[in-house]
Amino acid sequence: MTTPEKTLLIVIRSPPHTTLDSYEGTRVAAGLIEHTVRMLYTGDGVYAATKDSDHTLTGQFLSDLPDLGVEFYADAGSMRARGLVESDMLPMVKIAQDTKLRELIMEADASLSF
Amino acid sequence: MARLTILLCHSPFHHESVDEAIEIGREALNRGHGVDLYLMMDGAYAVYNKQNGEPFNVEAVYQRLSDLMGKGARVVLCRVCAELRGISEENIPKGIEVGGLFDLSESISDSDAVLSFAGRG
Repeated sequence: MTTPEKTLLIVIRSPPHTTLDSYEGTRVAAGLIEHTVRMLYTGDGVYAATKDSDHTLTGQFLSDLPDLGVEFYADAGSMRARGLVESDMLPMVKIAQDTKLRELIMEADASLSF
Repeated sequence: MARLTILLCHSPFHHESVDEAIEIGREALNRGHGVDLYLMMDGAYAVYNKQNGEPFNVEAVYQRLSDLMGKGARVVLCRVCAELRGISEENIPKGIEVGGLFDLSESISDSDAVLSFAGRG
């Protein structure tokens, strides 16, 4: 029997270059849409949420997912360490300070890390 | 009895997480829990039935998956990931389901815990 939806945190730790991990994480988010899905970009993964990275593969997902209720967050500490500021990020991305990061992790029933 | 979903995205004979996923699954089954194993990305290679572990004197991973299924695990292979890698029906051991993200979503719904072996190790 299928239980009610869960809150899932898709953690993107991989950069948008060198592997398809960040793309696959985004694809998984789209496939889990019947749940409450939140995306968190951290470490080198924050590059995948910048306006200027190559969104050839992820573009359609990134365009559609906010309308489907998916929330996007970028780890403020990871951005700071890489010299990124809010204006570098895609418009739907909210900047998450440590308190918010803890909240996202604590509220998640499960997290999938890519 | 609890239910565990394991997402495995790493390739066999390369990444330790393949062993970890299989052994955690085996132990969960031994303790009477249910296990769903979802194979995605390079994890799709785990099913390939022409593997030969002899050069490393180890058991082929697809055989270990068959053992897990014999103990009651459900193993689902991502169809898109398999097609991308040229893994066809004749390369897939009997009992492994070929499915999609809907199956992963359903497994997560039904699970008490989810383990993810994906991305950077």
